[in-house]
Formats: sequence, C-alpha cells, structure tokens
Amino acid sequence: MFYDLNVPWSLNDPELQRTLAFLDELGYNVVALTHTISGKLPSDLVSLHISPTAGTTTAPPPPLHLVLSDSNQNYRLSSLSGAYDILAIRPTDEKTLQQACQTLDCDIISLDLTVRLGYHFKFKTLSQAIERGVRFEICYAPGILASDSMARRNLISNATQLIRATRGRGLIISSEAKRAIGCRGPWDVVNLAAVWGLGQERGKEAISKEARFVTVSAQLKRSSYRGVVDVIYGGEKPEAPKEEDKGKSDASKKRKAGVGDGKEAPLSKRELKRREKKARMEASAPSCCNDSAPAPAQATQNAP
Amino acid sequence: MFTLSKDEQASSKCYVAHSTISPLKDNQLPTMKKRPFTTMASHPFSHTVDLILPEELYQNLQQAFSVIVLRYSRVTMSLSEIITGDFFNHYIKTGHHHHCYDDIKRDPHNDTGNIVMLSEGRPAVDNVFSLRDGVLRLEIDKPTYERCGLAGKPIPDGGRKHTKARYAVELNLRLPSMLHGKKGFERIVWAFKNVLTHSVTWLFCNIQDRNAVGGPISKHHPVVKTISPTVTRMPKVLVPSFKSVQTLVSPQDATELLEWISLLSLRSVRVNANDNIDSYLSRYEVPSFAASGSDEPLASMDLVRLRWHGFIDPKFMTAMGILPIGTSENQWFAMNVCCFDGAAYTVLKVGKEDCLTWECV
Repeated sequence: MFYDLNVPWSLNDPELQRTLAFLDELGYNVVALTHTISGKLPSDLVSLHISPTAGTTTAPPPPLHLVLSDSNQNYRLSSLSGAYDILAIRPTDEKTLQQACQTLDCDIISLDLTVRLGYHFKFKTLSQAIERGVRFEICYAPGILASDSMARRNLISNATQLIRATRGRGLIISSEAKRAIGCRGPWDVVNLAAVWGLGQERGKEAISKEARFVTVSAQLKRSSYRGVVDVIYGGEKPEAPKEEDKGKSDASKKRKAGVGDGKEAPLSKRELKRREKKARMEASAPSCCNDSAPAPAQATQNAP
Repeated sequence: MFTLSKDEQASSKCYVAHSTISPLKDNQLPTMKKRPFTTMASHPFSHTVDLILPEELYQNLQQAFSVIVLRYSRVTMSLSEIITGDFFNHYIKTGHHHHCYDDIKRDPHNDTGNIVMLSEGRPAVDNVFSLRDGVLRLEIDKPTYERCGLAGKPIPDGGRKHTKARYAVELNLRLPSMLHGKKGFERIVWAFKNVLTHSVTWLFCNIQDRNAVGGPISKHHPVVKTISPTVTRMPKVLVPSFKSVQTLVSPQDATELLEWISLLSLRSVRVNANDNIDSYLSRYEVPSFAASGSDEPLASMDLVRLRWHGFIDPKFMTAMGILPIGTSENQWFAMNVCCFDGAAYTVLKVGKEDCLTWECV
C-alpha cells in the first residue's frame, strides 16, 4: 500500500481530477486531499465533504494544513478535529516549530522546505515530536514544479538537513502536487529520497508504513479513549429477558421472603460489632480458642 | 550528502548451473529433480516466455508446438467463493497433486481439475493470493494478517531487515482435515467472510484438462484466452559455437552468453551478421568462445523467436523443457522466462543432453 497524504484541494480545481487519476495510475492506494488554511481560523468551520473519486481506492476525509505564524495565537486545534481527519501544521519559524514539536496536538508537521530556513534542525526538538507520534513531512513536488532553481536548491538542502536531524526516523514523503506533472511513482520517490540521504528501506517506509501510521493514529485519536482503547466490535446486545421469566423470578423471591428459609439476612451493625469483639478476645486469649471456635457459627444461626 | 547508506540491500544475484538431461527412451521422461526443471518448479507463475531456436529446428518441431496449447481464463471471484460449493469440491478437493509426469502419463479417467490460480496485485506491495496443487497462499501485509487470525510466516517485503511487515499464509486445502465444520477450516471461512472479503481478478488455468469447457468456473463468467506464440524471424544472426558448453560456466563466459541470449530476446540488431554500428556508439561483440589464436569467423544462422505472453503455468514450462531436439551442437534452443514475482531465468539446451540454466533472483 502506497500513500500520498498531501494533494492540495481547492473548490472547483480543474486539475485535481487529472492529478488523482495520475496518482492512481502511478500505483498509490491511498490519497489524502489537503485543505490549507493560513492566518486566523474562520469562525465557522464547515466540514468538507469530498466524494471519493473513481480512481482512488480509499478517500479518507481531507487532512487540514494549518499555517502557523504566530506562536501566541490560539488556534483552537481541538475544534478542528471533528471536521478533518488528519491535522498537519506548517510552522513558519523556529519558535512555532518548537511549539508544534512539544505541545500542539497535531498529526503531521509539514515544513515549507522550498524557502531558506533561518535556523538549523535540532535532533532534540524533532525527537520530542517523533516520540509523541507526530511525523515530519517532506513534499517533493514544489521542488519539481518550481520555476526558479533557488526553490529546488532549498528543498534539497532542507530535506537533507531534515533527514540528518531526524536520523531517518518519523518521516513521511508526499507530493503536494498542484498539477499532475509534479507527481512521481512510489519507487521513484524512494530513489529520490535515497539520493537525499534516506536509505531505501526507510524511504519505502516513509511512503507506506509511516504514512499508514499517521492515518490510523489520527483516526484512533478521534474515535477512541485517549488514543489507546477503541471498541471495534462491542458484541451483540443481550436479549431482553422474556415476560414469563420475570414473573417466575418475582414469584420465587416472594416465596422465599414469605417462608424465610432462603439466604441469611444482612447482619446488623450491632451484630458485626459483637463478632469483632469476640474475635479480638479470641486472639488475645488463645487457650480458649477451641471452645469458642464454633461460637460465630452459632451467632449467625441465632441472628435472624 | 550523496553517500549511499550502509543498510543497502544486497543487489540481485544471477546463478548459473550446468546439467545434463539424459536422453528420452521410449517416452521415459528425464528426472525432474535436476535443473532446469527445479528452477521451473520454483517459479510457478510466469508471464512471458521467449523461445529462440534455429530455423531448421523450428521447422522440425512445428508438430510439437501445435500440441502445446496455452489456454487460461480471467475471472473475478472472492476468496470465500473458492472454498465453498462446487468450485471447492470439483477443482480443489478432487484434484490430484500436480506431478511433472502427468503431461504424458495422463490418465483419461482422472480428468478432474487440478488448477492453478493467481490473483491481481503487485508482488511485495498489495495482497496477493495464489493457488497451486490445492495450496492456497496468501501474501498479506501485517495489518491484514493480524486481523485474519491465520498462522503464517514473515516474508521479506523490500523494506528494512528484521522488521516483519508482510506475511505468507499457506493453507493446504487438500488435507483431510480441511472440511466444512472442522475447527481449523472454520477459521479460514471466518477470515474470508470478515477480513479478506474483496472480490479480486484471478487468472485461472485448469492444467489437468486445458480444453475443458464449463465446470463450476462457468458460474463466474470467465473470459477465456487462448495464446498462440508470436513468431519473429531473425535472419543471419551471429551465433557462438556451443562445442563445449560445460566449460562455459565460468562467470565471464556465462555472463557473455546470457547477454547474447538477452539481446536475441530483445530482438536487437547488434547480433546481426551485417550489423555495421559505429564502435563509438556500441562496442558490443558477439562472444566466440573459440580457443585463443584460432581466427575462424562466427557462424551466422537464421533464427526464430517465439514469444508467448499470458498466464503461463508450470506444466507448460515442463513441456517446453522436454522438447526433443537433435544431437548435434547446431541443434540448440534458448528460453528466456519472466515471472510474475519479478524473477527471471534462462535455459540454454544444446545438443542431446547439455543444459545451462541462469537464474536471476
């Protein structure tokens, strides 16, 4: 199973159908459409309903790309979880990256690698995110489609730095292709990542295993208890007891109560205290143990 | 930056083996425990077979080729349909264990179905199922395997070593315990009813009786395909001498010979006798294998390439392997086979008994 978790979506995009068809032809099984919001969140978040297209095998609800620029702003991340399946965050500077790695409740951290970043990636920061189950995304298409060579150069150097800093762990690779021409086949992507310093096996995991981890864990976060326990199959509902059984059980209870030979009635507090005292006395005077041993039994018999 | 990582997988290997096939005496077949037959048995499903042979041998063997028919069908079924009803009873339960000799020693009374089937899907990526000799093999990824509840073994998936990402489950459906109602079988039924529920496209071949029409398969509306070979003539091709084949197993010679056969298979013009390519563009030369010093030119022959492209089962390959050819070193054929699992092998048979097998895995 190959995943491409970033295909930009916008309303009435004529290129999207073609991109999806081409991705299907290239052999991707799961494609996620991305809705990007930058700046302040709109007050009413309308959940997007994208009908699964014919080409793709699975079309999960769209992931959201949120561009973070101000670390002090409250982004109401929890309110987004209902409307979107996967939440990706795009930090714009070092401070927001640190915030995203340490605290923000997201699934993917997707950096814009085509610009020159004014800071170095630190393993300590990134590993915190990976330990929390957040994955880093490398988008290759902006480098392919870019008209200026600076973007491509930045993408290569930033991706290499990211691979170095994460030590190849916790990476996913996706396209972010606005046009079909920016897409590449899964094995080509693996080769490309191998040139950037990510081993072939890690590269394969980046488009299959790690990407699956993101979709599954994001789903689990929303549907389960604390992202740990989820009820997959609760079993069939127990059948309601029939009317006849009910009557029977009632009758038996009544009869028992009337006759008084059923189970013992609950002991009174006084009786409990009396027994406690007796037990204490026995413990303090072991010599009379044999005589007093049957005493509690007698007491219970006498109690009702 | 551009240094290759340490955990690089070992590149694919090519093994070459020389074997002798003892001559056929009154319909006695050679042993199937030697190459090339063991190689053929280990790669049961292939999609392209190229047979390259001299023109005169092709004329002699035309009768033999007309007997070998390649017919298979494409059908859409789910796994649960395989283990239920008539399909299960007729093709799997009553089928006989595939034996390499049954090509000739066919018992007309036993013409029930022994079938081979292969499902759609990319090897090492998608879930792929195959059925052969009553053994259903499911190659599935880890999430599916964990939900199936069937016991299997981890297989390599092209990813990292020592991480178990794909599993193969082998179910021998011909065992006497594999009956509806038995505990082990009900587990399979449950898995096919709850987990592996998708209908997939299969290639189906009844190797017991290729010409059989109808049967339980007809319920699923199969698309029947009959494959006849594409014949390509290759006039005046330079051919190395095969006088001493057993000495050609050295890595250098074996590689050169395999390269020459592959170029024939590709229908390259570099092997033609009248090829006049500039040596600046291609420096390829047909190997001569003659003793150093002797300057006799290479013989040129008219060759024929036959190509079958379809679902090729092991029995068809066995029939090709025992093609009767003459005793002289001019009588030879080469066979280039590409398998569905990405492997490939090449067989060169020279004269009466010499045989070279290259296997690329």
